[in-house]
Amino acid sequence: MTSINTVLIANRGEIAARIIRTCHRLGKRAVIVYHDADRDSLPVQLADAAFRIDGPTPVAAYLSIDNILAACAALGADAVHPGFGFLSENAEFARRLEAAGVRFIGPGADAIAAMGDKIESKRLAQKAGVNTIPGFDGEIVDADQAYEVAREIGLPVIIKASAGGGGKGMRVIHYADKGACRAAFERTRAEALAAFGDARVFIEKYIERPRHIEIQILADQHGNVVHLGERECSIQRRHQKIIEEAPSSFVDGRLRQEMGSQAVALAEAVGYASAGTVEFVVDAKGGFYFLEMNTRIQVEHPVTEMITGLDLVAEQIRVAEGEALGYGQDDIKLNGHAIECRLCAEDSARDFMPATGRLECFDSPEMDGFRLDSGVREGDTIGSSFDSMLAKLIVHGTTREEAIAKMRAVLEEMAVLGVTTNATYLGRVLAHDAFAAGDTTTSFLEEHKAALEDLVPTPEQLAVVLSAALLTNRTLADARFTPPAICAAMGAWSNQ
Amino acid sequence: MSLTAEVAGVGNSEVELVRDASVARIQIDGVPYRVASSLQTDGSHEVVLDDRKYSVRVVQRGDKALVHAFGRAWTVVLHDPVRDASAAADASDACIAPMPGTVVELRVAAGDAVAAGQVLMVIESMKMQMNLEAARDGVVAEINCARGEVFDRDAVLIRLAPKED
Repeated sequence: MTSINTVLIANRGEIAARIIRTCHRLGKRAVIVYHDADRDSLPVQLADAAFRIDGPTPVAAYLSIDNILAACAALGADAVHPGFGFLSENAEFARRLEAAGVRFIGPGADAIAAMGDKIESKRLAQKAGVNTIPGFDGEIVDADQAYEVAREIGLPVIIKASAGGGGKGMRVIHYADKGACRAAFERTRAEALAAFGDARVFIEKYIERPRHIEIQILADQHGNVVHLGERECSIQRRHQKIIEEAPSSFVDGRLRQEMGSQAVALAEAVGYASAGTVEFVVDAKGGFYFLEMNTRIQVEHPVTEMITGLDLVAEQIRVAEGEALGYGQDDIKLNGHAIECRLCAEDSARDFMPATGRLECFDSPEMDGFRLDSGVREGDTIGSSFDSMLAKLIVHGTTREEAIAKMRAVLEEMAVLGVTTNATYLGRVLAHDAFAAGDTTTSFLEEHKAALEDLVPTPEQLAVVLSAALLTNRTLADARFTPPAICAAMGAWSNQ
Repeated sequence: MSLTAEVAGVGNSEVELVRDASVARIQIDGVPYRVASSLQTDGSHEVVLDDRKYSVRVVQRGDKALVHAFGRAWTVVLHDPVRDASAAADASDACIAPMPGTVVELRVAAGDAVAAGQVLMVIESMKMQMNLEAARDGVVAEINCARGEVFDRDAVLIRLAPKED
């Protein structure tokens, strides 16, 4: 294989900016596609060239394979990095790129296809000796079958879209009630069809208060596979992660080794060659079960980079160029503790509703062991066309306690004005005793909802805020207060 | 002069700012503080409250002050009751007392059609009389005062029926 010259980034936002930085460090040209909504964005500015794309919606523009192929031809790209989301796990996309003579920086189309289907991937996992959740092997065809299967497995069960992901198209059934079962089955099918264009659903045992722990793997085209330890990703809202850590406070050497070797076995079984992630749900006793494999770089990959010292995007590119990893499992050393917080434009007080506006201030602290992966700058307008994630804040410490303290300091100093963000909320999560104790499950935010609500400011805090607002007010800054013009509705004065 | 400061998600406070050449005093819901603020080289502001120092960031945008302090983003909107009242007079069809006074004469009754500029009532304040006029064409919906009645500043004296689109 020859080396890659020009990488086209088929993505946007912080991940696009992050991939561009690595491309430049490796001496490669980095080019990008952009929809008009992203015309003035940071990644477009960082890229060596940019190609405008369009579609029925801004998101659709990035989802169009034809758009990306046209961009590759126009910009002379010999490889594509898909980032995450959009076309990153689209096997058809990988195939069409290869057909056009453009390298796809990711695993082969077959591995993507095999892992992209939840039913198929579960069968493959079982065959590879990976623990899977007890459930019905196959598609559930009607509500009656859903009810029967639920009773057989034993409640609670979860009904999920086969083509699902991102927390869409899933429902928990707690009681053996035919009506409720029917409703759940039909709603999940409808959701699956709307979100993924595929109505197939399956049922499995629902693990209560689970942890979400995933294993990062790296594989080359020569059959070498290593795992880079785990990431703890249990802190989620709407089934989406907002805080991730590496390593997990719950995982000891033995459990890491067990989970790691199963993840490696699965990667080997599908002939994987790139960076990938095997996700597990872990119960309170340390039982772990395969959830899915993500055949792409993940949002939370930086925490693994922080504790291994590897650049995962660079490794993906090296693998795509045909290079061998050049290291084995024993060479992977985990050092210290890393935490990532996803800074999102959303209002935690209003059920995490997305927020928009202009970033009047976007000021991050400078600190040792703090890394900011941002897709935005001060002055940018945040619209509602895309995902609400603005940036990722990543810290590294020698211990978990140190990393938590550092992240709290970062969140405290991260000044974002003009757009509501979850920074303060994230700080409250990190300050919670249960978080410090490592008692992190996927129900954490729900269980501690009351304790995580906005605190009432002290009179002193309010006085400082009001003083700042008043003393910097242009009108009030005038030493002479001009009396307000009394309404124009005042007529002539008449003296009595 | 007293202003209403609305802090998003927190509530309203009555604030009053008094300045001399160098020192400012602020009164928040009746509690007085000595305050000073100075812009730092890094773009932040140092706020000194009595003698306690705090580092904050402030951006003034339109009628909003965006403040980052205590690890939190705050949005403050200042309302000038007088100005709000006059704006409201145009916007919400209310005829609002610009100052405390007495009703001298009412020239319209509820249900009357009025034209913009038409005198609705005459009020007296500080030994002077003034006419309050209709800000727009409309119909008188309510009259909240009677002849000889004393009212306070910001009282809604007359309200027109909402405009029909």
